Amino acid sequence: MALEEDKARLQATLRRVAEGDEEAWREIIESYGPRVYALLFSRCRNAELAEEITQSTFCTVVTKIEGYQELGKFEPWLFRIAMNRLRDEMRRRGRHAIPVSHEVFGGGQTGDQPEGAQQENRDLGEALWGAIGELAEADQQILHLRHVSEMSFKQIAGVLDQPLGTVLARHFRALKRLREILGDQDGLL
Amino acid sequence: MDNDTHGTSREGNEGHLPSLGIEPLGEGYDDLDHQLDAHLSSTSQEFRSTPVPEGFVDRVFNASMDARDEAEAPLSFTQGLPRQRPVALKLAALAACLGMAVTAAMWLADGRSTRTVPVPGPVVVELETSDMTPNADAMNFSSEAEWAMLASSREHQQLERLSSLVVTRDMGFGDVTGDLVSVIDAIHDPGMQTFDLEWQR
Repeated sequence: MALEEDKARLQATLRRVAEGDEEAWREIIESYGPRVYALLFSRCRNAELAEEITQSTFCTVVTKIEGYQELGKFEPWLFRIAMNRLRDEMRRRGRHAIPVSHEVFGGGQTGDQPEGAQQENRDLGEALWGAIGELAEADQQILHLRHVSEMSFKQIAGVLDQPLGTVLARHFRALKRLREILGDQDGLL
Repeated sequence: MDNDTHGTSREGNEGHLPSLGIEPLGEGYDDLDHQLDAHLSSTSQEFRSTPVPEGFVDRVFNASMDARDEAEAPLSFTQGLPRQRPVALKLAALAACLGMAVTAAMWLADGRSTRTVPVPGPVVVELETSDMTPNADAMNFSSEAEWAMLASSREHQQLERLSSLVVTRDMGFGDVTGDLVSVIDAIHDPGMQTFDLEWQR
């Protein structure tokens, strides 16, 4: 089974890292670095800050990984460090909700879609992710971890260190609240 | 509210690079919820495909290796610390210092008394004695007569020159306690490093 193979491969790689294998550590960074970066960037919309916190996160992990035993918690551990670092930094900078700009939803389009569809998707993205910025911090985190990091609810519960039921309930309420916020915007739903 | 109805709580997917996509919603969500969730998934593709800056992996790798090396290296200030010595040796050193301090204090006190009290010559106590052997009745003075005799006597002035020696002889431990405290403070003062200098020779 692919999942079991993935888990076994991750376990073996982390064991090599713990033994000081630098190539194994590079593999971990290549696998998880872009995902951590994308999540952080989606939250702060600042490339430099996202990279800085990604670096800080991996620096922390590598200094503590010597005695680490992989029991399926590596990914939640990694992302929790990243989220906490970002939260602390955002608090320090006094920043909270960040407006979504065309830089995010305008630059990544390929030429496959017609211009009209691209513009429609851009408007939808700006509206949706702008509305998410009005949700409570914990609800925002759940939606970002689910849609940007593609994590399961179980993994999200691990990252946020909350019971699975709490995460599911918060997600349910977050969608309802998001619909309320978007209620005034015709045509979105 | 049954939480299990809101999500499928997909098992697994804790491994490398999950490729199963976004976990589908469970039961309990209506059509608009599903529609909103689908919109979020499609638009979040922009974030997921965010390109990392050029050289990103190398920078993260190098920074983390530096962090690991720093964490493994012994702290620099520990290299400058003196090595640990046995407690018995420390106690012996302290006792030796105290002994030397007491000896020095006593020597100083003695030296001060001999220097500040010059003795011009051998002290000779002259006693006038009569050739006659006093009889017992003659030695029976009244107290008034004894006081009068003492008051008129000048012989005690010579004895007063020896008073400082008497003081030195009577000097107790408490008289030099202040000096000892100063010495002990100096030993334990990290700024002075008296103890270490003494034993690093």
